[in-house]
Amino acid sequence: MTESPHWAAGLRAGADFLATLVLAGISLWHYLLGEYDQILLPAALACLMLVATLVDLRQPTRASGYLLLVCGYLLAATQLPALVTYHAFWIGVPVALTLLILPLAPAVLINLLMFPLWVLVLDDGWQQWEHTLAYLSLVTMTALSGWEYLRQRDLARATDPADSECDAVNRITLHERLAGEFQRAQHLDQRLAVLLLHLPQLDMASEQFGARAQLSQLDLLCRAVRSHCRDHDILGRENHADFWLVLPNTTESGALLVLKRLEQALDETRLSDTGPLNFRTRLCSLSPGEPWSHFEQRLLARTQSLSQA
Amino acid sequence: MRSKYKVGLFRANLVLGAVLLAYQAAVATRITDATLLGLAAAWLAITATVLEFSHRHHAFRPWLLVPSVLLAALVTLSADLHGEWLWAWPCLLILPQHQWMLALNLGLAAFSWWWTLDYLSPHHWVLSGAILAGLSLIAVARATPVRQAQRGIKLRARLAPGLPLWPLPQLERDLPRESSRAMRDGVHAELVLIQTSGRQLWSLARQLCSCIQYFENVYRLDGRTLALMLTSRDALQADMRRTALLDGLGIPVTVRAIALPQLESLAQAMDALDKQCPSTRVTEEMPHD
Repeated sequence: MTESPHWAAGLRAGADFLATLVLAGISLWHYLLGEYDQILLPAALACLMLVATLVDLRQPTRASGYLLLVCGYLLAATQLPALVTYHAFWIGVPVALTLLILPLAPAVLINLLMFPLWVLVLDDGWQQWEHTLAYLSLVTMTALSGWEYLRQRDLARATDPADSECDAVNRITLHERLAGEFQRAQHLDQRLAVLLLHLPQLDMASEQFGARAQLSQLDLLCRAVRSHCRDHDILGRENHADFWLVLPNTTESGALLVLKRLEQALDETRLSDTGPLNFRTRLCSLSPGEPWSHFEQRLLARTQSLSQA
Repeated sequence: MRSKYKVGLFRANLVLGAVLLAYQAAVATRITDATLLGLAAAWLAITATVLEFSHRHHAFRPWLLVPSVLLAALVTLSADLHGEWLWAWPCLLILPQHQWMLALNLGLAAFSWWWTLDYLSPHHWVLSGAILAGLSLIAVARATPVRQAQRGIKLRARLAPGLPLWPLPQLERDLPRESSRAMRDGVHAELVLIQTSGRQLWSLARQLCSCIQYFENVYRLDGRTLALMLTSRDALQADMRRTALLDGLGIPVTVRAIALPQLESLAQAMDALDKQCPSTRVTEEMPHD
């Protein structure tokens, strides 16, 4: 939805670095205790995590998260059986780690599937009912935070009227606002015109020049519309390369004037990668007495023919 | 709708959590544990009943403080029995939250960790601190982009999915636009301020949203005030529409209607509304010339 800021990536790298330190510390601990056979695994994992830290500093990847998860599980499986008194305490770490790194559903599934495995690995001393209950409650409670995280994220998406890539309203809002303008035109006996815009080069731009070229095309269109249309004209993104410009209380000739102004403005500016912004247009205005469903169908059909032309 | 979010599953999870904690509270041997677990179970149960998919409860911060305080109390007061709850802290930090709330949660997490010193041996204590810090970093890194996005969206997003109900900043943006548009189109636009008790605000908002036309909007100005932008052909039609709408409400409300050319500032209109007697209707009409 949005790019995370630079320092959030730094936090991630910091977590990786802490994990490296922890693993190195554990190998050192085993060395000091003279348990030489147990040094190899944490030391090797520490080297791996160090590499992951360096990778994360440049560009955070999903793989480093998985690596962290695997390290956590390996470490827990090898170190925990010896620590009988602290089983109940340390078993919480893999539970939380799984939830932090994986999405909610796989995390809960893995936590539940791991439960019998933990019982097997931590053979004695951890089969009391008390710990089972604690483990299950911890899984349940940590899952709650995953739900709330999802709720907030989806709520933000469901209530945001803007498109995620450019300064236009998204499809759902566009259709709502258009229905509103339709009703307003009827209520106040006014005209309504919709300008259909299709950007044929949008996909080609992203294939040849990357996502940034695509974004600059979108940005150019939106800025041209903002500066050459009235405040209450609505620019909405109908689908990937099609836009609808809703012009309330505008006659057909008025809409053609708007189109001419837009064409002039877009002709003057050139993008560094793709040159001038090409676009195909078609005008669609509301005929008197036309019902809403008919008007909407007409708009959809014309958009389709425009993008296939 | 793009959202495939299931509130029902979240609610089921809340209830399951409440049941598990309530059981633990019932079998707990110490009175403090039983109290804390019982309170947490009650919190979960209440949350399950009021949970809904809108921005309504965002404003109600103290409610979100309860789990933090309970968690800190549980870990510090009975680290020997419930020490594993220390690992729930990173999961609280994963939620997008205010800066001060984040600072408070981090502080409480550090405090709880400090208190496990008595229960853990020193090397375990140091190790758990390092791991807790690492997990917290991951959690904050994951919450940050969502929080950043929310900050922008909250200024322009509708307050509940599907309802034409908007926050105050949106009204401030819409007012000059609607005003110039009404002037250009030669129609009558008016702002209707409606005040009610805070308890009935949301049911009133839902009623208003269902009464207005598709092109009109409802705005939430504060905890007890809603605004409504009505667009009609002329003052007479506006008057009829407003009267019909308000008569159908069935909730005692204080109303102030202002034709847009008359409106000098929103703050002034709000002040005038505050000074008005309860359950009155005042209309500031355009002067007839």
